Formats: sequence, structure tokens, C-alpha cells
Amino acid sequence: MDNDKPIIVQSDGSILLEVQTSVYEQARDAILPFTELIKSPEYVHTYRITPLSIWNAASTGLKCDEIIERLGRYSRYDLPPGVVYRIKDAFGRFGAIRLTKGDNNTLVVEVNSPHLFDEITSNSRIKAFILKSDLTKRFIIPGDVRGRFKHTLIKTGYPVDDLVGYEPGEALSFCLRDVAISGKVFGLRQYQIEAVEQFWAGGGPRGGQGIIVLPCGAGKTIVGMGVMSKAQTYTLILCTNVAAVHQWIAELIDKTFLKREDIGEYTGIKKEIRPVTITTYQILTYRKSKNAPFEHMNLMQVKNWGLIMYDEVHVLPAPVFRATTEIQAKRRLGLTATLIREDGLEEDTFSLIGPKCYDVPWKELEQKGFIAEAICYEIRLPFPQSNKIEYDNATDRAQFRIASENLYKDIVVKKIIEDYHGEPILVIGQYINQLRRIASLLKAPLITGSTTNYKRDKLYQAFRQGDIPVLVVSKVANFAIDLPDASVAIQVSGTFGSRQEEAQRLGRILRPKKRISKFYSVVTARSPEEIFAHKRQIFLAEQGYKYMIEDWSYENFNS
Amino acid sequence: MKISTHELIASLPAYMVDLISSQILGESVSAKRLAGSLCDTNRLKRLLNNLKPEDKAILIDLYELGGEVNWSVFSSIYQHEVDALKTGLARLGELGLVFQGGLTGREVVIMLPSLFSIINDMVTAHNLPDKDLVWQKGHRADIHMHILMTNVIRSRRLRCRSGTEPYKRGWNLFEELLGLIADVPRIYWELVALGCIEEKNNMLVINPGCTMGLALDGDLRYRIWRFIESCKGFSGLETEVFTLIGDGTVLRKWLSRVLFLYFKQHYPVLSDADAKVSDLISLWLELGILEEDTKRQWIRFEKDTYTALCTGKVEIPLEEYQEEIIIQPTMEILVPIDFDPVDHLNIGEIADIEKADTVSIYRITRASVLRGLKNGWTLEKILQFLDRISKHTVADNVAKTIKGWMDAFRQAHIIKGTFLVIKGGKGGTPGELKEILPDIYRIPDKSKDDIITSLDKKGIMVNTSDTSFDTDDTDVGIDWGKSLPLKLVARSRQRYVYPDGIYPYGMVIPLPYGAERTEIFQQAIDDRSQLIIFYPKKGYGEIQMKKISPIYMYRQAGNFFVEAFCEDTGEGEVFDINKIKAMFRYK
Repeated sequence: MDNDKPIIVQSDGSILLEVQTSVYEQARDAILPFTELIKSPEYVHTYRITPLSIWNAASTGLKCDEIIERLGRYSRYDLPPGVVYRIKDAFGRFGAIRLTKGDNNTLVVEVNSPHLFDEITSNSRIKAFILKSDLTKRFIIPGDVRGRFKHTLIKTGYPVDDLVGYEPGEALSFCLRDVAISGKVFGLRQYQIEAVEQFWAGGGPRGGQGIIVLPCGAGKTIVGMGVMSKAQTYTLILCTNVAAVHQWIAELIDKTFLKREDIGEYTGIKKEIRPVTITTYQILTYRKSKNAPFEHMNLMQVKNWGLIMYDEVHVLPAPVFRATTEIQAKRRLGLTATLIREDGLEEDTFSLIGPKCYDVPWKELEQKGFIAEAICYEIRLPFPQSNKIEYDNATDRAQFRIASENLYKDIVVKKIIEDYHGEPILVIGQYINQLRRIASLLKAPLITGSTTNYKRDKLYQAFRQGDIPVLVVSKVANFAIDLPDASVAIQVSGTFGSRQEEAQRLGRILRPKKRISKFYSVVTARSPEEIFAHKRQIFLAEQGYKYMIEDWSYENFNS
Repeated sequence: MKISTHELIASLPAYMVDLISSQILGESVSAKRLAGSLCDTNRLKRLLNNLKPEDKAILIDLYELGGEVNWSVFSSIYQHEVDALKTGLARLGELGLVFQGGLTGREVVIMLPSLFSIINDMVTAHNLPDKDLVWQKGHRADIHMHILMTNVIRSRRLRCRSGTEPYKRGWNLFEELLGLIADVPRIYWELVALGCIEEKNNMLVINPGCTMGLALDGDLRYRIWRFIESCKGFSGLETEVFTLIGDGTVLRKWLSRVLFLYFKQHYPVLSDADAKVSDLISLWLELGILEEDTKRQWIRFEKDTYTALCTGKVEIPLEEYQEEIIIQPTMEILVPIDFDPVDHLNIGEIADIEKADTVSIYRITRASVLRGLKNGWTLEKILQFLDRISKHTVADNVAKTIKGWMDAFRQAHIIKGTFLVIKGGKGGTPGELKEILPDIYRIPDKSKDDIITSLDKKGIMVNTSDTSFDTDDTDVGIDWGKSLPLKLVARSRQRYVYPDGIYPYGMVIPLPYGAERTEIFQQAIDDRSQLIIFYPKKGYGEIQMKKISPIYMYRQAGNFFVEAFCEDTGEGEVFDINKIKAMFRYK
């Protein structure tokens, strides 16, 4: 055992990486290509080796021996033999099956051993694809089953090395601006350039499909634009919601020489199909009834797209996955902050969108100043005596709401705002009545779902320019990516159920700035809210944020 | 207990001394002179030097067997090469180095006692290791897995059958949490054997006294326990091994052979002694009781083990253990495999184990803090403990969260079936309950669980009798079984008696029965050769030696008789062939 070494390889393939060691950075860079970052709390980060992560590494040209050597070099204890075996096994599977272009719209499948050939061709689901076979190493499948074939094979534990290449798509000539329309100097940061190059891979069949993993606020949209400028082709961009569509449009206009008329919005409101079309997963998966066809799914085929981009690919819905199996000849880029899917469909993402091709931990970006440093605070309050009887007699559900709307929270919010006088502050909440009350107390504007887009834009603009120091927003803040950046966010209530919601809210204060951003959550002590708050605490601590807890007692309020 | 060479020679029948001395020394001498000559160290060394290796090996085996061994044992040791053994022993017998009791050829085989010191020197020299041996720093068995399993039982409520056998769910849980890194059934049953796990009301509970004893006594005591357990069923084996190796270094091959001989001698019914020896040595090496060199030829006791076996003081240097763990702001505690077992055990009182591995992961939860509270932990104690073992300062949110939970625990408890008592204020008391006395509420029938759940949601932890996980009134310390130190005892030997005297091995040939026997006499008649026979005296059954020249053989009433000239009496005599015990073999 060598205590100076920072890595501990566990028997289940997870890797613990101790941060506060002299060779932490070298060790992290060494293992990052073949592992997935699971969580990154302050002292020890957890990574995981999976067949997918090994295949991702293999697709970048990393050798098996090199992986084992890197682990051995930084490992504090002997490597568990089972892990070494699993790495070798997974590695042996990558490249065992290659897919290349055949004649007459067919694809050639080459298998590197007769034993494996027998194994996969005896699978009835694979057999169904085979048009012709030489019974030893090669067989031919139709060109239009490329996605389904790859998907089926990965379910049997074999990734396909897809070397068929891509359709170039309809050409679209444009380039990025050096100075954005907004007047700011614009250019890709070094890691963004690296991400684009990794994905593009010189334009050959080795690249052109894959996922770029960047933390919130690291400029995934910019990377997407970088890839578009490489591809110079008609592009379809799939986003999570309309706000994101608008944000994409605004960014494209601001930072590229694309004309407005080249950019289409395909949403519930507008149905524009243009050389660059931006749509939502929601509209693509819309259908009138449960058994009706998806009315807008043909958008993926309607133009000769050369590039399809999936924003927040970790929430890609199943029907879009299915549609993606049919468009394997097109270049596909996934953008996300995490590869972990709540539904566990990571394998589908790998086989249908592509392997992870770039990843950079947020901590590294924070250290380099590309995203802001943030500290989370939880303030625990007692109940006002006047509410106690009502609370004690309420149902569980009602108790949660009563605790969320605790009147003492108003006082705390006011106090925090006084402490950060002059800084842009967002107050985020779940319950409109509570938000109205706080907005009125603070004399600050309130944005809810019913606020018109025009009014929202005006308020955002004023907030951005510093005319309004405090903005009170409802859960629209979870999805409004055009929400201006703030340096302090105060969460007064929420569902606390979703990790995405937390990440989105926190993302509001992560844009780079000189000051340390603060993320406050105000909760009622000894109430169901505290249980949810604990879950949030764990989530944020897992992301590596400092988490402080303050207890406010009756004395604080009496004084 | 050994006999001397003089005593041995005194066991020779007096009438045989002439014959035997002339056979061995080439001249007829008295018993005293014969014994004196056989004791001659120079002669013996010379003889030993000239022995064939296989004969030397037989002698060494005899030496290791204590100088005397039953023929049945000896032949079973050489079960596939008995003929070679007999031939070798006969060669040694001719030199007066090996004797055998009686005339049947199936009795005890005896090594010349004077050989002991010479062979002892030879064996010692043989076991003299090179100076530059490199010792393997192999794995040593430890109690880490036991502590982990104990902590699993603490943090999960597991039901079991009587006899402490967990149900399938329990085994599955153990396998899920520990299966990748531990031999789950072995660890479990070892804990049961040591008294660390008990069954109480069909639940698995741990015995805190025993588990703490296990942790305090540590890895070395556990290793020694395993060593002694492995010797169970073979009375005195641990002492035999302790004596054989001592504080020295021995050849693995030699140790294997000696233990093999030990099993053959003491446990002749053991079918596969060779495999047993090999398994035991491998186990002791695996445990870390023994160490071997990198070439896997030499073996010695691990230093601390030997000291413990000698002195009874089981001490592991503290530097063997890591003293620091990492407490993450996520409420996780990362405990390395080589962490101090006592502190590790304590972690299990206040945190739930989530994953057991090279670095095990615990999580501090509300339930685990409650468990700690019930076991006598206070907020200050928990924080001080975490602060002491934590590599970094305990994160603010961790300390505050624990404090919040501790504050929420108001020591509410349910009085059997009817009442709920809440100490320390009414905040959060279920409104629907009727307060019958200050702080005491009546519980509606059959709603205890609902009340507990409801209060739990409100942050009030209820102490009910059946949520008592592991407190035990009959808390006793660990029982390691055989006490230390081991007492060195001389390798005990069976003392044989020789009613029919002793003879140099191979000089007396038991006569075969049937046609072969008559053929021997017919051959002697045909060759006109002399025979020396052992024949019982009339009436007493005492054996006498007769030198005869067979003349004629005949059959009467189904028995064969030989008429012969007796050289001793100078008269013709008739002998019943079937009564002749044996023949003496001339050179």
C-alpha cells in the first residue's frame, strides 16, 4: 500500500480518487478517458469503469494495457483481479465487430473470430438482419437497419465499430463571428476547441458521432456552434423546451454569420423548417392519442440534414431514440452535463448517438475561472408559534406546504438581500402566494408562468443591466435558460425531488464572475422540508459544492 | 522416551548375540561389546556417509517418527513402495542400524538409539537456511471482514432461524454487500463460533462485548485462533508445529514430510495425509501464521505470531493500522481496509454500511444516529469521535445535520401497548392523540406502527422495545478457546515392549505358510544346507533358536514334519514345520 497514491480501485469497478494528494491532477487525467465521473464531493471523487466507459476509451484509440498500467501506477492498493479481468473482457469485445459500407445500399459486418461469428449469428434477432453470409467472418445486412443492428448488438454485449461514414447533408456555408453582435469579443475557449476537434476527428468515419460532456455554464451551446461551423451543413437541433430553442436562436444570431431567415423554430407556436432548425423533444414526441403516430417525428427526415444535435442528451426520450436508429448515416452530437440517465438507458445513448468523446470536470473549469465558484447555504428556521397548531393538525401533504410557506422565511430572505446589497439576486420558489408575498415585501418584480414573454424579456433585460437588483421567479426558472445570471440565488421552496431541478437552479449563478456565488435554501426545521433538504444537501455535496448549514432560532426573529 | 543402545541390545535374545555380532561386526562378541561397537560414533558416521540416499531417507523418517514405529504405520507411510522399504530396512538391519521386534515381521521397527544425535545434527544442518533469504510479505488474515459483517448486522434488521442461521434474504444481503471481497459463510460462522453473533427473538443481534473483544484483540489473535482451529481434531498438532519450527527456519519440504509422518503415526485412518498437510501449510501461510521465502522453499513463523505463541501476549504494532478515514460532506465515511478495527467497529454504531470493499463506504443517517444514541453516544461523543478519526476537518454540514437529528430525538418511547411518552416539549406531537397526563398520550389500539411512522416524519424518533438492535443484557467477552502461550512439550513417543525380543531388521525371516514353507525345507534338504530356526519350547511357548541340517521331510495326519540334525544338541530331532516361527538369514 502506498498512501501517496490517490486512487483506490474497488472490486465492483468503481474508483475512488482522493483529491488532496500531490498527483491528483495527473491521476485524474490518466483515468478520465476510460471512466465515468459519478460524483465529486470535496475530498474523494468517485469514478466508475463500465463496459461502456471502456468502449468509449477504446474508440479513442486507448490500449487495454495502457488502462491497466495507468490504474496500477496510481493505485494505492493492488488492483482487484476481477476488475482487471472485466477490463480485458470489455476491451476484447470492442472492435470485434466492424461495420463498413457494402454495395447496393448494404453494410458489411466483419467479425474477428469464427467463435464470435457463431455466437452472434445464432442470435435470432441478429439472424433476422442477415442478407448473406460467408459463414465464417462476414455477413451482409441492409443499409437501412444500421441503427437497429447496432442497438441489438450492444444489448448482447458487443459494441460495433461503425466505420460506414456519413451522408454530408445539404451544404450550408457560414462561420463564427470574432465579435458577437452584442459587442463582446467571441472565440472558442481551449477546452471547447478540443471538444470540437475530438468530435469532428478530421471529418472521417472515426468521428462525427458522440457525446460531449461539459458542466453547466461551460458553454455547451458554443461547442455545438463550433461543430456546426466544422460541418457546414444543414443542422437539426433538438432541445428540452421552447426557452432553450429561443436561447439557441439568439446565440446563433449573436455569434455566427447565419442569417435569421436561415434559422427555423419548430415548436408548438411556429413550424419553420430551415437550414438550421431548432425544435424540442416535446414537439417531436407529440401525438394526439396514445396509439396515434408521432406527427412531427418526420422532421428528422424531411430535410437532408448533415448534423443532428441533441441538447441535454441525458433526457432524450425513448421515441426520439427510436427515430435516431433510422438516421445513423447522419452526424450526431449529444451535449450534456452528465451521462447518467435517470432511466438507465446509457447503453442506448452509446449505441445510437455515439460514445463519449469529450469530458472535462467542472472543478477544473472552476479553477481556471471558466465557471464561478459557488457555496451553498441551508438556513433552518423554526415555525412561527402562530402556525404551529395549523401545522400539527394538517395532513402530511399540507404540512409540507405549510412548512414551505413558513412566514419566517420572508424575514430571512430580506436579511440575505440586505447582506448582499447591490448584487444581482434571484429569489426562486414553488408557491405563487408565497412568492407574491415576498415580492411585495422586497418591492421586487415577480415572474411566473403567467407573465407574458414580452414582460419577461423586459424584466430580464433590466435585471441583466442592473436596473433591478432582485428578481422573484417561480419554477419557470427551472427551465428558462435565458434567465439572466445572478451572483446570489435564494430558494424559498421547491419540490426538491429532482436532481435536474437543483442543477438548473444552481446553474443560474455559475456564470464566471469575480465574486463567489451563493446559493441559499431556506427550510423549516423538523418538517418534511428538512428531509428533502437533506437529499438536496447530499446531491450538491456530491457535485462538490461547499454546503453550510445555519440554524436560526426564535431569538433571531425576536431580536 | 527413548531407550539407549545398551538397553536395546539387552533385548536381543542371549542366544542370538554371537550370531548377530558376527553378522554385523564380523566377529562374535559379547552383548556389552556389541552395544559398545554399535555406539561408536565414528563407525556410525562412516556408515551414514556411505548409505544410499533412499536408505538415509528411511532412517530420517524413522528418526522423525521417534526412533520406533509400528510396522503397520511404517508400511502405510510407504504404501506404494513397501518392497523398497523392506529392502532398504534389510540393508540397514545388516549394518545394525535398524531392528525389529518379534519374529512376525509385523512388529515395531526400531532405529539404533545411538543414531539420534547424529541424525539430529544431520537434520539441523539440512535445515540451515541461506543467509540471504528473501521473505515474501504475503497477505495476512485479518478481522476486517468480520467487523464489516458485524456492522452490516447492526445496520440491517435480519431475521434468522433458531441456531443463528439467517434466512435467504440475510444471506443475499451479506453476499450483495460482502460477496465480492469475502468468503461470506466462513466469516459468518466464525463470528457465530466466537460468540459475536447471536439469535434473539428470531433476530440476528451482535454481542457487543464479544465484538469489541474481537476488535481489541485484533488480527493477530484471530490468526492464532484460526491456526488452532485448523489443528482441531488432531490433538496437539499446534504444539507439534510450534515445536518443529520454533524460532528457526525450516525447509518446507521437511516440514511437510514430518507432518505427514505425524498424521500417519497418530491418525492412521486419515485417508489423504499428504493433501491434508499441504492444505494446512497453505492455510497457515495464507493466514500469515507462517512466512515463506520468495523461492517457496523455506518456512518460518511470522515474528509476532511466534512471540504471541511463546509469551501469550498478543500485540500488533499500532502502525499496522491506518488511523484516518475520510468523511465526505455527503455524509459518507470512507473506511480503508487496514483501518483500526476498534474504531471501525465504533463507526458501525453511528453509521450504516452501504458498500464493503477495499475502501468501505458508510453513510451517517438519521436511523444510524438514533442507533448510536441508543447505544450511549451523545452528540459531543459522535463529533469528537469523527473529529479524531477524520483526515480532514468534519464538514460543517455533516456536524450540523447530526446535531439536527440529535435535537429531533426527544426520547419518546411507547409504554407497552397503550401510551406514548414524549420528553422535552410538545412540538410536533400528533394532534390526534389524547394527552392523558403531561407529555403522556394514549395510543389508539393497534396503531403503534402508524404513530411511529407519523412521528418519524415529524422528526421525532420513537424508542420502542423492538427497535433495540443490539443491546444485550447477557453481554460477555470473547472466548478464543485454547489459551496462550502454547507449552513446549517433548515430542512424546510410545514405549514398546518386545516379548519375543528384537533382531536386526531382515535377519529374521518370518516363514510363509503353505507350499512355500515346505519348499524352503525341501530346498535345504536338497542342498544339504544348514538352517537356523526359531522354534517354541515344549509347553511354555518360549522361543528357542535351533541350528539344524534338514534330512528328511514327511507328512503325517495332514501336517508336515522335518527330521533334522540339531547342531546345538548333536542329535536328530523332528520339527513340526507349521510350528517353526521364523528363520535366521545368513549373510
